[in-house]
Amino acid sequence: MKTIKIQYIKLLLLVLSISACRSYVDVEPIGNERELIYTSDYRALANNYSNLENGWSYPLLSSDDVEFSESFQAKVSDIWSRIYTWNNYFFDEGNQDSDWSNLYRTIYYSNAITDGVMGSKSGTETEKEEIMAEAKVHRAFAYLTLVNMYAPHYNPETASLDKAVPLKLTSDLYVKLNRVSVDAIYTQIISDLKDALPELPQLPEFNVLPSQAAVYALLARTYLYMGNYTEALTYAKDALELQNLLNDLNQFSSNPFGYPAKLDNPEIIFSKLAMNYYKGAPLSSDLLGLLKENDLRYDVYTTPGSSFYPTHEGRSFAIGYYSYTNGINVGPSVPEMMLIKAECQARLNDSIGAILTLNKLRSKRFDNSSDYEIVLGENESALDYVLRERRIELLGRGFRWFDLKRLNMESGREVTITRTFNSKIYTLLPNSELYVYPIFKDYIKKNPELGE
Amino acid sequence: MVKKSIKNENHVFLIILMTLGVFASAQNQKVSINLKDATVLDVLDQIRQQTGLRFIYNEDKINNLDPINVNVKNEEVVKVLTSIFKETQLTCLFKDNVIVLMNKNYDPRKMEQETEHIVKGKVTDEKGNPLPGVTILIKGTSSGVATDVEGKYSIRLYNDKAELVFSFIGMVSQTIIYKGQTLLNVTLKTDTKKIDEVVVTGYQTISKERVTGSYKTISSSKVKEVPTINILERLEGTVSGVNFDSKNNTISIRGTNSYSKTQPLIVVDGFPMPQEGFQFNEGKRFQGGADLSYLNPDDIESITILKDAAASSIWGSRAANGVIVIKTKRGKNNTEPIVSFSSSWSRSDKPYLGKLKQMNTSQYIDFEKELFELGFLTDNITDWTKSNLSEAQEWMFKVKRGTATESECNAALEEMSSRDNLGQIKKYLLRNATSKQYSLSVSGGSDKSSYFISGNYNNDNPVMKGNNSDSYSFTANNTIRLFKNAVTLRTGINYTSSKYNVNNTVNEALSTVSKSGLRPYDMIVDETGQGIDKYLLFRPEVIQDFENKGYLPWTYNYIDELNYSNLVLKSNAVRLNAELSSDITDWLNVSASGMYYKPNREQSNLNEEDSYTTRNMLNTATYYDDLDNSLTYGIPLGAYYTLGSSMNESKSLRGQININKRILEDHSINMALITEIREEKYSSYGKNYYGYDEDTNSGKTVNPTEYYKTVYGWEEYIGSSNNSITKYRHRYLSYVANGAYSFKNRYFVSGSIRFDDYNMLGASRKDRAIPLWSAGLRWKVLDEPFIKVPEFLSKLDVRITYGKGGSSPVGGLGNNNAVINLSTDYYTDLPTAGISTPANSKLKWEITKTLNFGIDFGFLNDRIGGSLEYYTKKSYDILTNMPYNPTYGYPYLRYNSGTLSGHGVDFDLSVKLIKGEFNWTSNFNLSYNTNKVTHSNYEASTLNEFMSGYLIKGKSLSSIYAYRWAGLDSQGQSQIYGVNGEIIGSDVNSTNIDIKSLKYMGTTTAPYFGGFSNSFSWKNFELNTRITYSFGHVFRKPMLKYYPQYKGTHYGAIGKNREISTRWQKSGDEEITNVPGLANINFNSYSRYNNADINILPADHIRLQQVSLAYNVPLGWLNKKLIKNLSVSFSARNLGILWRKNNQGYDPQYLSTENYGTLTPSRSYTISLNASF
Repeated sequence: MKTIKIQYIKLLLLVLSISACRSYVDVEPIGNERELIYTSDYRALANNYSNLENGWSYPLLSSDDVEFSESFQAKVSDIWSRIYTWNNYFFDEGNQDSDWSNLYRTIYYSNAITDGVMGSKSGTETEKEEIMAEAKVHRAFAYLTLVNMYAPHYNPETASLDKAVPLKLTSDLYVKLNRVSVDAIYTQIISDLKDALPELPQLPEFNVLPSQAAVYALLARTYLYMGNYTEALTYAKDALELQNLLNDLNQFSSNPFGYPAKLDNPEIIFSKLAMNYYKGAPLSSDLLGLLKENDLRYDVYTTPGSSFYPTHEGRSFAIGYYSYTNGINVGPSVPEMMLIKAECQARLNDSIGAILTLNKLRSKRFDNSSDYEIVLGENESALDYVLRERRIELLGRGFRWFDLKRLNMESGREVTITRTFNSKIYTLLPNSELYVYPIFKDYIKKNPELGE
Repeated sequence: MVKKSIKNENHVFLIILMTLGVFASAQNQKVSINLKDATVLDVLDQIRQQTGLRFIYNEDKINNLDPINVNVKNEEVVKVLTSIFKETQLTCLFKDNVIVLMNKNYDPRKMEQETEHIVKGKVTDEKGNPLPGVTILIKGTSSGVATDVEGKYSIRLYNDKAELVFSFIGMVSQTIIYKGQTLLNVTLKTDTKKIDEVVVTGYQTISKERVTGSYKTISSSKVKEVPTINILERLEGTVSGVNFDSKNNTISIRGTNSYSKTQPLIVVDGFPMPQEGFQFNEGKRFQGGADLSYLNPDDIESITILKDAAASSIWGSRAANGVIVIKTKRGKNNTEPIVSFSSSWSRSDKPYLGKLKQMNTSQYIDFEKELFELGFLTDNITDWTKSNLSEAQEWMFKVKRGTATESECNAALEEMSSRDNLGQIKKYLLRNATSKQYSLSVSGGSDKSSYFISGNYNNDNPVMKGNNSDSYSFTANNTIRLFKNAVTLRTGINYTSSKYNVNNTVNEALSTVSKSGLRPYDMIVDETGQGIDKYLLFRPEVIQDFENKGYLPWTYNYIDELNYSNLVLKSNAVRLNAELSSDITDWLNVSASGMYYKPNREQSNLNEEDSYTTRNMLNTATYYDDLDNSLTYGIPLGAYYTLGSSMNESKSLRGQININKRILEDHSINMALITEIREEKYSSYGKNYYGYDEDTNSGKTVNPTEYYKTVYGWEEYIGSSNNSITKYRHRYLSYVANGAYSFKNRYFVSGSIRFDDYNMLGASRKDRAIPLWSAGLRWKVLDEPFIKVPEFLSKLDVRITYGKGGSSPVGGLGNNNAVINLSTDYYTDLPTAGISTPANSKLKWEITKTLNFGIDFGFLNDRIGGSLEYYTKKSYDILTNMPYNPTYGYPYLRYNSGTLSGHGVDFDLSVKLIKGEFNWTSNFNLSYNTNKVTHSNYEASTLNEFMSGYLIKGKSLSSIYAYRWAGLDSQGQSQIYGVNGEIIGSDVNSTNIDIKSLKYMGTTTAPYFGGFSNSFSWKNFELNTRITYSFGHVFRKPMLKYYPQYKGTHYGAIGKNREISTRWQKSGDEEITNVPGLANINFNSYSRYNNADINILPADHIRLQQVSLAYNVPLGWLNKKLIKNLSVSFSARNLGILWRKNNQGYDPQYLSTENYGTLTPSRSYTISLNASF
């Protein structure tokens, strides 16, 4: 009896010792890390706005919106000073061109989504299409920003020849990085945006997510930069149709900290951020001089330079400072759409319409008791008013840089910027090559085709 | 060989003698034979004819014997037979008129009638001390006895021809052939090498004589020699090829196969420990913090290091960087209970703060003065939100503001210069470190079972006040034989519990960066000995104003803070293992075993309401409304309590079939077939409690997304980013086959193959697993009959192994799918995911192929012994995070980036220099290891990459480059030499500097390192010394940290490094200094100085780690019935550097930069007591 029992035990041991099989490891690891397989995973990727919300930053320093006093010049970093003086390089070896790398990070995420979402598991076709569309909108924004930073401004005559940036449309890590033409980038932007439009909700749940309003707004911005005012006007109107609330600055002028935080801000159509590292630059006296006495934007949009590092005596763009959840929005907003609308109206000879649009905006920007309305005079055209209003409303966030690029192409509107930095005089002539930001040499070393 | 044959003769002779006494009649017969080239059978036939004696034999065995010549006249039969069988495997046994021819190792007992004999005796050690608990076994049986407390025994023999085996832990076993004695006294010799004779691979225990691979074993006595809590410190310098770095708490075996430094696999009692849940020394937050051990050093029976390809082929992909196999102690069968007690008490000197190489007070003030004068500092009086200025800066700005005169300021600075806070730091913040260890164990066994039970307690109080650790462990290892010894059950239970208190006050006070970091003139207490309240966050008047408005006190007091904000880390771990094994036949054994390991960690940090952390947090979240003078608290008042917890759970199950078969005489096969599954789970969570009340143990509810106003006026959330739970589950499946074949006991061939599979993220099924294998050969040269052995050579074995190992990418491969990391967005509450491993179609496993040659040698009867090994390694497709073009989305990307070839030498030598009453034994080991990048997909292309150790083809991994320093220019700024010796000033941008102008400085990892230990014994005294050394590498001198790099405002901390005091200050200084001046500082100048060749120094050094003296108390003095063994030892550790190559006084292993944490550990003294009962 006992020996039988022992035999059983021995047999059991033998069976146990050969009983492992491969299906044991064919399970998904539970937990936070997992493979990108399900539609819900792609949904989560598309929600990851911290990787998708990248905007631009260097224009905050290079345009004539800012001016460094002598004492401030001594305090700024090399990077700030190089951007400020339109140097032929910004970054030292071993650093990163952060705007470039952030925008291409957004493009990587977008491409990872467009590559795989349609083949993802357990999602409906509608869900997949919507996620795909969102990725395309983010990608379009990134390319629109890149092409305006690292290439000459869109010129219909030379756009197919002017070198822009690499156009990466897959998440492949080994493709060549040859640069394509400005035209090719714009074509891609417009096709991405138009593809995306029908799949998106009219308005987003949160303004960090793309929507139809965002697509219209980006199309308006794109066509404006292309000089296609008719299209720009249409899309600006479409955008405003969906979203048109303005903050009344009267509510905040005495307590600017009460200004709505990013996610609650009704003006933001599609949030995109500048990097915090570039906040706090002193605004130029030229710009501040444009702000009339009752213009509340002085109180709400600007704040004393003592709030920033390095400190300065002047004033800086303020909104990013009220709550550090805010950031500096450079994505499309209701006021930007109104300004595009007004500009196109003015350019398409609807001066009255343009002024009406401006006054509508100004009604929320001036002290209630003051007279904010523009009356079109003889000395200035509606476009003059629009462009001035545009500079004020969009102050301190670098929009001016892109405006300079396009306005320089119009005779009579060229601007020459001169600045003194550490006793050296720097001049930026209209249409200068320095308007095209340098591509970082480290990147060219890694991929020589980028330099071609 | 000569010696060997003599031995054999003796052996035969003994057997013959033994047989003589019993069968005298057969021996008396005489024969005369004269035969040439005759077969043995012919000879036997002659004997039979002449004497009538009959033979019983196996014809095959006799026929195999070579023809012989026999020419004897009237010779005794026994002598004839002896000479015939001398050189063969046979022997003869006389039984009445029959002579049985049989194998020499045949046990004759079985043929004998049972007659009872009683043998009595006493077992003593070399010094005559009785040895209790010695096992005496009758060879070939399981019966035996053990000696009593007086070393006496009595054993019953049922046989005339028995062999008695006397064995005792740590002693050489002795086999004595029973020759009818009734009294048999035995002296056992101490054997330090005993433990070395087997190699524990974790799956098998193999005789050291048979292994082909590269293994080194550290015995428990070596582990015990060093009395530290940190086991790594005990192992430093003991084994060639292994670098135990107790400073960084890392182990590297034979350098690196990969670019990322991963740790070897640790296997305890046969099962691999999870990487996250097991380390030798865990929890230690900073140098000078407390030590904690998860393994009781007294429980360790042996530590085996597997160094070559055999390691990875046995243990799989996690073993690519070597394996450390730890075996814990078990009891011995048939042993009286032995109670062992050991304890040690250590105390260390206070650290010598001079080694920080910091500026003294007046040098520091001078530096601040120059910073002030050159406009690097800004006043903060106009902005209340700015932090408080240093005392010296405040005075200088007072003059500028017009609130003090120049002379008042000078007088104040003068007074400050006379202060020096080092004395106060020593007195109030530091102490003599102390540690205590106690351990108690009982072990023993009957013939059916054995046990080992131990308990251990450690307590560590390091130099920084407010830190300490306590840990307990309990181990119970049992072995039971069941079902008439058919099945053996081994169980092991281990529990450890530890508590670790961390108080950061001292660490912060000594740091340069921290807001509470002390400047040289900042005192801790005033004249009356009261702690000084410091104003840190804002200026005093701002803080006082807030306090007047009702804010909580907002000052910082070092003495108070030592009592607050204690971070408590508690952990406990349970390790259970069990094995059932059974012999199916005499050559086949099967076993099933399993392990369960569950470490839990809990981290709690109670910041009392009175602690600075909490007061600061609450005050910052409090808004003061001017209109109604009200205070609004954004965070409820009370303590702030954070709680975090993490759990690992590891379960393994294994089935194993062992085959151990001898075929014919000369062949033996040894095989193990193993299947194994393992699951590792992990989860962690964290939670914060605001307004925590220690009495009621409850926190107040807060809404983490509700805005509140801060003291600055802006709005903020409380937020709670740690309400998420982190989890993972990994599953592993392995098939392993190990085989060894030996021929004639002098050739050994071994091979092993392993197939590992696990649920790797992002990998396709075919990429998840690849087979890893190794093969090896060992040849015992001296046993070869045709080799003539010189007299002095006592051992010579040659070994070779070759194999392929590999490691799977940690965290997933991603060649199939990208790997993402899911969480919930903090602001939108939407599910969100980041890509943690991008999909990368070209990712593959890292593969390392290793070839290992080894020679084990012994001279002069093994008085000199050791081994020499040479290995080459080639690693392919090394995975690493390399700079990538961010245009692809990633500035750094992990990919298979290159090929690395390495080679090295491990040399171990042990010499018994003097033997006798005075003994001197020397152990020396040398490791040489180097590597070279032979191919790389990504090569360093920028200056920065060259200087920070990226891959450079043709150079070793940790190579560094430097600028060729050309002195300072007349402006006090850096100059370097260009390619053609031209001088490049700091105004030249780095992008215009040719990489060729850089100078290769060497490598930062030591190519040569090792240890040298000596042990002297005389009578009851034993003196041990341990020395470690490393040669051939370089280090970068601590740089100018927290020194302005640009003109303009200098933000952040101000450096304290003494080198700053020698900076360029005025024209002409460039003749005497190399430190760039402040006046014209720029980034190029700063970084080129830091990366200049003059700041890279040779790191070669020799360090005296320990000297210890032990005294074995002679037992004659003590009541022998009570105590069997008692020894006391005294050791001194961290005795400092004996020699260093750099002449600037740097300790290359402990580069003390700007913080205390890097200080060389101070000297410590330990008294240990060991006793057994």
